[in-house]
Amino acid sequence: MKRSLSVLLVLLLLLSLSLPTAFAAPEQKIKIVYETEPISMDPHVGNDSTTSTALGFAFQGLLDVVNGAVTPGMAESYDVSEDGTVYTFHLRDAMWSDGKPVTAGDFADTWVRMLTREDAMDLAYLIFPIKNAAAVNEKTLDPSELGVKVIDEKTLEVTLEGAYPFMVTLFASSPMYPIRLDLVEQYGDAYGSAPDKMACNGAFLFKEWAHSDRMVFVKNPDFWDAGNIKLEEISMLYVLDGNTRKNMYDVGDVDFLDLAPTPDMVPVYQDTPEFQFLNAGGVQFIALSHKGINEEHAKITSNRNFQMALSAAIDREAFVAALFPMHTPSTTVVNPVISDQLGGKWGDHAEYDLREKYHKTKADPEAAKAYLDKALEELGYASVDALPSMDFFTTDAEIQRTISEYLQDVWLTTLGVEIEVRQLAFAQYWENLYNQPYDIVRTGWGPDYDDPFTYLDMWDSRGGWNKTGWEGKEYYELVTEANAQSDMKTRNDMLSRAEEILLTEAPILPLYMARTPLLLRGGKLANVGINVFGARFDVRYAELME
Amino acid sequence: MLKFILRRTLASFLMLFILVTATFFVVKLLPGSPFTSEKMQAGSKEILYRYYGLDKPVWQQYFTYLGNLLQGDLGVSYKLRSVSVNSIIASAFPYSLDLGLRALAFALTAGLILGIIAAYRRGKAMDTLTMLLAIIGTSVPSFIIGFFVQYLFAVHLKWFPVAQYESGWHTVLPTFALGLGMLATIAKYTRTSMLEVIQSDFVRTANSKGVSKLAIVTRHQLRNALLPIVTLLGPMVAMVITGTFVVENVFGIPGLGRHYVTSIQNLDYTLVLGLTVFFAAFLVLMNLLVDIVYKLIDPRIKLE
Repeated sequence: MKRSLSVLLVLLLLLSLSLPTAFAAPEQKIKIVYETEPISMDPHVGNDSTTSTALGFAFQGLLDVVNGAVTPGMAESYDVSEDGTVYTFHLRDAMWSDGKPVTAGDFADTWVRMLTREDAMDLAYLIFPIKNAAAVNEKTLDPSELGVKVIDEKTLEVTLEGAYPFMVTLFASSPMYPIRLDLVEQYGDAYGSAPDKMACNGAFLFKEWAHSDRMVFVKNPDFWDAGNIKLEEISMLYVLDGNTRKNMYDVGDVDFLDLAPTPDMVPVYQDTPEFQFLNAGGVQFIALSHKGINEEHAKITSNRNFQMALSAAIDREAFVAALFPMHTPSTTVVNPVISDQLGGKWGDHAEYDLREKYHKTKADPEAAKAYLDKALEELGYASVDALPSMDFFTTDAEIQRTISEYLQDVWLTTLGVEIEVRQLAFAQYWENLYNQPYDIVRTGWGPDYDDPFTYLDMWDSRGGWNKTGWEGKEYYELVTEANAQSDMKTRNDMLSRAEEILLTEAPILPLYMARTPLLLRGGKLANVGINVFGARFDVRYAELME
Repeated sequence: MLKFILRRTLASFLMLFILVTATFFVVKLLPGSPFTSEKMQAGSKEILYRYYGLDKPVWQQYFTYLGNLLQGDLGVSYKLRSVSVNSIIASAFPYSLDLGLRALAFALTAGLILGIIAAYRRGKAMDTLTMLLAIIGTSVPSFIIGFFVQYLFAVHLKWFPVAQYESGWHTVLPTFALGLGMLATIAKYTRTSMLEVIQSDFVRTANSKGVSKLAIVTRHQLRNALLPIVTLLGPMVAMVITGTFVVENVFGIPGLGRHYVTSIQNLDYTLVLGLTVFFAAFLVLMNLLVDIVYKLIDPRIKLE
């Protein structure tokens, strides 16, 4: 009797201790899980989604993007000249995590470094719209000629080559975040490799980096907008195995799960309220090389009718349904979710809708055969049997094998065209692509900024992705002229015409537009921002609800 | 003894040198480049090659690498720019070491005990059960065991955390998954060699002298039966504490294991080389230790 009484008392004590916590506000700490860790905390090294997400916690650019909308960042306000080429930024009184003020000079120094550094320059092309940036990058002009002028400690003037309207979103993107040159000099190559070897100016402070395991960010109390930041701590976990990530989500260890690397799990969650699709703006296509693996193949791959035969043979709807139920079939180049720079989306304009105009969603075997017959005649082949087996080149990812086999089957049964699939490891794949010895390749592109130009820019032979050997003179003139326009309607018209040139002349066959499937702890995590570039999924302003 | 150790150490260094040389040139033969990526600009590869000294003749790169290696510098990773290979190993190895040692301790104690019991209860239920466990342990791959225990004990029963390596509680499932295979092998070997020893003359002599059962098992039988296990243990230790990709992958443990796989995929030359050197040095060291332990526990082996 006495013992049971004491047990009861202890239980009561425990209950009384645990009661207050049950009614308290939830602790504002979240865990999100990704497949791999960011490649660097130096903003100039990479801008993939995971890297941009981590950088976005620790840094802020002149402007910011919150849930797709451009908002003030380190600059309180900015003025744009009438022709849209000169931006004057007025910086707020903000501090670096080590107590030094954020100055206009920090930005100017950072961009010069971005253009002139020797060890990481893949992203330099992004700021080529700044006056003389390309020439500084190519070392034909001195960095002092760059169109960036420090008026005073808090005023920065940026002059552009033209009225590139997308620069507004670029000023908010991770590659343009400021860094501290004095710390770069102090730490040398090790800058950004650990939290104590850098300084932050973002909403969160970079607290811990355990490689391949996690990054921990804690709320920055000195951040200018700290009053609106609810989360106290964000842990980004990195777990390579998709099944393990799923289990972690299932038991409640993490509050967010990106299902893009594991599309086979989509059906498991598709009908739950936690599941959502995010249109990440990615475009996927098949490209043909004008150079081919040899001269004979080059004649075939650069034949327009042959290209159209391949395109018309594919049933994009069936392809997507069979392999990527979460993606949407595509017959154009520009993803309709991208901004039209008029406050709406590219997809809002019926006049720019090129869907079904040149490439069709549904297969048309008759048309495909007619295209092929014309191609064979032009190329001087008696029949399709005389055509050599074409090279189809892709990475060694599991899903790429499936895609290749699907297309192999379609082209063989519809047209009698044979392809030989060649898969290489990721690094070798890109190496080969740059040298262009391939016939047909399957690849894709994700937007770097919120503007249709991000999809068109890549076909510029001077940079970007264009590894097909195709050079469209009219195309370059058109996009260059478009970017000189200050009237956005005129610009959009020109960009749409450029897209039309791509669809009629360039050796590319649109395939599908990617959507990212993700799981967000239902009802628990509010105010999550969704963006089409950089950090696709932004929890900086998120809040845990009860 | 000292002379033996000295000679073996010298041979080990020679072996390491050959290994580093071979790996260095084989890695260079791989097609592709560590810097190619989707958004790479024309000409930037050449600039990066110049920056990292990859534009120099291969033999020159080789001597630079050897020079740095002698100073203990394994270079900078090409994938995780600005992070040195030394620091990657330094941050990942403690996890692999901790998990490996736990798995070893678990496999050794449980494996020896089960092996001994099985030998003594030969043909009885306990023997059959142990051997069944041994078959499962050796034939079922550890990632299947890993996913199975993860699902059963973490997702379904919620007794343990799913993944990561934060507390003692987190270590239980990966230790079991990693240790089970070793446990099975150890139990099997212990049983076999115990059975051999049980029938030997000196055991019969000890028995007839009236030595207690416990003393016979520990002093006479086990010490002799341990020899094959020690041979097994050298490479096993090296393998297990330098990280296993599969179990670390299942439980999201940031050990060395994943780097073996990803560094090759990324053509991260310096990391591939650094890991090879590190792993090989460990393997060589373990084999040396095994030879020394042999001398200590086996009176029949004389080292000149």
